[in-house]
Amino acid sequence: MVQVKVLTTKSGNLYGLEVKGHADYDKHGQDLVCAGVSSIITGGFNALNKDDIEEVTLEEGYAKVILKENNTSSEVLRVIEIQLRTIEESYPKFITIK
Amino acid sequence: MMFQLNIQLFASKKGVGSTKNGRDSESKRLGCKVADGQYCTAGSIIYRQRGTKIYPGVNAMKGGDDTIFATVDGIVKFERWGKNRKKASVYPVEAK
Repeated sequence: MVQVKVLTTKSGNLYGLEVKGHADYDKHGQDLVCAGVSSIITGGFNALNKDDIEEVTLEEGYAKVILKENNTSSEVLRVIEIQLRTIEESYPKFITIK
Repeated sequence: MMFQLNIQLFASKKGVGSTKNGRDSESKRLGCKVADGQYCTAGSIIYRQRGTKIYPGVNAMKGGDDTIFATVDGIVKFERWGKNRKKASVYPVEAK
């Protein structure tokens, strides 16, 4: 199961995302849930403004991004979060978002 | 682009091949059933084996599945037979 952690400040501003785990929807090469999550995360991270990125990791089974204090990319993170929640709605057994 | 797409980034480990092994037959509990110097009764099994690891000696016989068994009551003795063979014999206990 893929676990997504949404990182927000006390005032509710979205400043980061952490994604880990394996979807295990099907075997490697045919895992549709994983394909969706991978595309959203990779495409989303590429859409971020490089100057806004404090820390970013993207590797097999793990992805994390932290934005700087004043950034213009939190809306992009919001889009990533909503896309992941859309997958969660249809495949709750394979992805959870906290 | 900052990141190249790996569309199976969050998939389980790469398909690991399955093994063709993992089978074994039921064990047949072969081996010695009466130790050297132990008393046994006629007809009791002394040694279960495949082929003749142990040969029948005095007062002992070999069954169809090469099992060695006693033909009289007595004490079991494992002895050498020739250069590299062993035999199992049964020696009756003299009445006192």
